[in-house]
Amino acid sequence: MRSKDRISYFYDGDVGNVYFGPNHPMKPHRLCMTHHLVLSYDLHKKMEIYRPHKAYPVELAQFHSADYVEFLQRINPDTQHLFPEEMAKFKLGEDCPVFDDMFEFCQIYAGGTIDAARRLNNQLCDIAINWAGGLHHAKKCEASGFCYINDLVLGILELLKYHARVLYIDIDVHHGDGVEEAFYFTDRVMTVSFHKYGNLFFPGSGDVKEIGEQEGKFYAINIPLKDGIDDTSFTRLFKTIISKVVETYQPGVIVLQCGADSLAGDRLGCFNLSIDGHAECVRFVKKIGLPLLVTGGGGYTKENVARCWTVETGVLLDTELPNEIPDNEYIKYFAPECSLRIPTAHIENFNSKSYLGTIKMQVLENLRCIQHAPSVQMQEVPPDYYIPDFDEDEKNPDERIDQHTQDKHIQRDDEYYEGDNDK
Amino acid sequence: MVQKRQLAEEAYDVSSKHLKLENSCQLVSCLEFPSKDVPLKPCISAKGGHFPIEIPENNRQFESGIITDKPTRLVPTDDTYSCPLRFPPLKEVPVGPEYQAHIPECCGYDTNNDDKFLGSCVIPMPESYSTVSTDFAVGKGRNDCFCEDRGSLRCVRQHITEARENLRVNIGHERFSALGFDSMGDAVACEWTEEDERLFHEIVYSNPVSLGKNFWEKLEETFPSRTNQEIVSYYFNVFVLQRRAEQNRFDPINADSDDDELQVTDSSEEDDDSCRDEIQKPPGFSIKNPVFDHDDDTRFIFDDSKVWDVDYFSFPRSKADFLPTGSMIEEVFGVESWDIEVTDNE
Repeated sequence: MRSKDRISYFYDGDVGNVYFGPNHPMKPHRLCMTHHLVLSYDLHKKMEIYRPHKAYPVELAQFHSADYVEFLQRINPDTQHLFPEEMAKFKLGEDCPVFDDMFEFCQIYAGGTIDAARRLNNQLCDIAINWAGGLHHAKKCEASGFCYINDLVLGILELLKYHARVLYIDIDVHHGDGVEEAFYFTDRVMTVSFHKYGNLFFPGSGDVKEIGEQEGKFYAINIPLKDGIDDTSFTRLFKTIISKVVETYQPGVIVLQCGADSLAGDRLGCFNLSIDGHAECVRFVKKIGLPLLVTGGGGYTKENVARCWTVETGVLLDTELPNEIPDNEYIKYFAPECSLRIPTAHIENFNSKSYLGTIKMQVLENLRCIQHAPSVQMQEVPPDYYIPDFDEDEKNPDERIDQHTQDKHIQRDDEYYEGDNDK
Repeated sequence: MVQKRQLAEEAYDVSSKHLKLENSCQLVSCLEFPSKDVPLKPCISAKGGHFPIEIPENNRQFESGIITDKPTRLVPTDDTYSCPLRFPPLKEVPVGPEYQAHIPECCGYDTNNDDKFLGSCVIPMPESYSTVSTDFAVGKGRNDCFCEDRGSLRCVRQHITEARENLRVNIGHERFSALGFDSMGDAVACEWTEEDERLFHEIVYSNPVSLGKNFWEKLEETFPSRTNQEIVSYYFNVFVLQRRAEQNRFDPINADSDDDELQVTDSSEEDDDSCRDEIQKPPGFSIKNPVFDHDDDTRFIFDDSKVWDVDYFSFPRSKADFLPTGSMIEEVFGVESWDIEVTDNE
């Protein structure tokens, strides 16, 4: 195990001062609240904080079509009525309204993920965090699900310049369709999404049978879930699948989208995860020890979003935070309890053991189809990584999962992280 | 196989939804997990209009966009299907240069090596990074205060002010500004006169979206000298925050700072508050969270005419839709009946 991880944290104060419109569930102000809470807990004393550059249109066009980027740049609320065809073509309006400073907002959150990827590529940090990013629904030529620019795809494209294989994990309650679609035909990116599926839940994709196509066949993994999944069910399934994925795919870097709408009590979500359960997934991925890019995503009860991403910043810094929220500008949002944790709901978990077992079986069966045949893709030797062990067959699911078990550290000749990073 | 739809944009009308449904039903029986060696077999669609194409051996040709116009619709022509209603259609993953990303070569370097693309450092790595020790105080929680009027408005305001100053001293004034803390919290109200604040409140409450009005546009009209960022900042840092504070005092169980139209009334008027629905909900939950009650038997009774309504097979176009009580098909036949053995719940 190497010494403590070096964390780069990206934030721009301007990102929170945009407004999607009255009653729109997406409220970027949640990012100000998160950032403030992170600093109120003094977490800045353990990491470096960067202001990202605003992504240039040419950078956004590394994935998105040029005409879409150009339209996003020039359209504004006062002129949108003059371009009904383009508005329809690019799916703007309604879910993805045109609002003031919209393009700048996109530049900031995309710039954060791109800069994060570049710092990882240059080995300037071990973990990079951009809570403003994670807008996983945006498509190449259109907006979708409150997302305009897909910063995750842009970040992954950067990582692909240095890594043969990138693993993308998505724990937002909505299917990560934009990222999956972008990389559906390649085996250089494996996308793994845990999400609610069925009952006409947005976006409607993400069935377990969506596994990729052609060269990308078996490199898209979908774990469709039902309402009310709880911590125990979710974390157990997550660890089982991610362990197998890492062991089979051997990525060089991981991108983790931490949408907080999978928490209990979310305005649009329907899961029943506590913040500790959600954060357990982040902890597990960090423990693997690969370079890691962490982003935000959904999350529509903004106090819980701030709580969740603050706890997870702590997790990434190996710092357990006390439950009592310290005084800060936004303390009233967290009153009267002023606690960092949230209660889960007394709702039924519609994910039966047999259902989850079947999904798991199908996913693991697909993973067996990925061969370790020597090829250009597999010739890059990944850095040291460690698959945290856990007992998925434990009898009592309520017992704490023991992570201090047999070490599966795998030695490689060409280590990336030998010694301290002096940069 | 996942069904591929045409590259050209389809009008989202009843006829195309109906078409999608039939083809999708025929597809479902192919949705198994073949071994890796089984080659892809393009088929001619029973509906016609699409032509089979060879799947290229070198998939990089595909990425460069050689295959464009007419992707194969992989549908067997002789499939029998017992009950189309048991298998809801899969949402297709579209294919083509308009959808997938162009994958760069893995070369280990980047032509864009400019430092400015790595972010500007606001707070550098702390000097104690190289040590594993975490002895310095990080992550302190809340301290109890000793104010005589503990919990009062004055007490809360004092502690927030103290926390702000501590943070400013902690990280330095320059970084405090660089990180945007100057424009967080009640301090933002200092930039507004009392009259402007009163007007702000009045505009928001008298122009609710539920009545077809838009308070945001009114705010922009009323304060033309203010930038949008200033208005947004005041809205969240002062207006919504104060409203949440009032909720905390008068109605903490139903506190919801995300409802843009919520008007807080004092305890004497709570019973008459028409903004609140009469729904019992668990604490901490927004009333707008749909909770699907699968135990409600009445949901299994459906109007015959609705069975063939293709709207039931349409996909949600809006993420913010507050959905109806689930797909009628799933309710009748159950999700597990698709191709998974139904077993009892735990």
